[in-house]
Amino acid sequence: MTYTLYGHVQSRAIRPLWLLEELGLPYSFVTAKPRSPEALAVHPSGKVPVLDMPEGRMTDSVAMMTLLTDREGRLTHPPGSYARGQQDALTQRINEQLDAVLWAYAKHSFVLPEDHRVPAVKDSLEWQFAQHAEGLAAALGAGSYLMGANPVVPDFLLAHCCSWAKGRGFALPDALRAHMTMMRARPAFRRAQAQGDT
Amino acid sequence: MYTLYGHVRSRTLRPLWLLEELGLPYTFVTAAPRSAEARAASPDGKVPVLDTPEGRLTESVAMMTYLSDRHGQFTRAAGTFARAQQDALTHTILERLDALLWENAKHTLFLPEAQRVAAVFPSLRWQFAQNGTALADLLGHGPYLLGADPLVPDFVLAHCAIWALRQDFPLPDALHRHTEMMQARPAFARAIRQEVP
Repeated sequence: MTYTLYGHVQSRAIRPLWLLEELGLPYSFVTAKPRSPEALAVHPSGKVPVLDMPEGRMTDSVAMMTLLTDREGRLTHPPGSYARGQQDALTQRINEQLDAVLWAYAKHSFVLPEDHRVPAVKDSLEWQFAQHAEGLAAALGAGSYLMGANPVVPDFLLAHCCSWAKGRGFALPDALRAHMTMMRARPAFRRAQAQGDT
Repeated sequence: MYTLYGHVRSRTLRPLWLLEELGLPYTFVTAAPRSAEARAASPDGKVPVLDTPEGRLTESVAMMTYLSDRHGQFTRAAGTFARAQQDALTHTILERLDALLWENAKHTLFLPEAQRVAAVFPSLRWQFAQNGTALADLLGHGPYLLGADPLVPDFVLAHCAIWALRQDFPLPDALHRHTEMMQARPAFARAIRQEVP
């Protein structure tokens, strides 16, 4: 079984790309920046990532991470278990408290049509991000992953959101910075990132 | 046996509704966001909170996923392509509707006054109208998002629509019809009975 992933390493596409590498799955990567002709060829509004699998085409980076880990039974807890409930709660929290705030910041910077951007909200978004990051840092034990000795889906999501925030120049608490550094030192991350060099 | 803490006029309605759909035994404890009752169950007073036999869970969508997987209804099997489509819909609804409604609520009520920016309201409303239309297109042949039966994202969508109507946000006709159909379910009527008059 082979997967084809369309996207760009400097987008949410790095999430499923990283997991494809972690899981050692065979895949092809097609570089497609958001709203580029390559992206519009596989998605009506040019959103990436897009993942082609034998059964069909799918969207949404978190849904892709969930599918790949459930299929392989690794980097996740079993569906329906209490541990999975906790894991999914972390994923939802990171999505709402970090990803959505970063996305809102991007929207009001360059994604929305100019007359619907409200630059005045950006300071508030940066403040919200700092509050939420402190809360998540407190939930993270020193030198460990979110749920103990091994990384699970929300660790990859958190590491990507922190990289995204760092690129924006947002401040990161020490515990989140240490978690991000530990995650990015994984060989699979290096291999995923190298897809941006080709 | 489950205990759910929260308020019907919040995202608590989602797991509450699903508990009723699944016919599971549960106790409901009314706790408005940030109330003393909510702070007793969650340090920052966030609701809903769900007590399960194994421990406490947070986040409404995580609760819905847990309940539907555990009891094998209103969801496709994990790891299947159909489940991936279902999860993509859930996340799309969260990003395109829920996040905007939450931003609107934050700048109305939940942020400290110094961090509220009223100038963002017209943009949020405009974005919601755009995204609502895009989601209405996803309803396809229906009647539910993925065919003949409702799944987790149908409940999330219906709840976002109810929330939007309460805030007087615009809703396309197709989403109106979906919401009305969802609200006509007997389990919905039982869930909202938990609302304190």
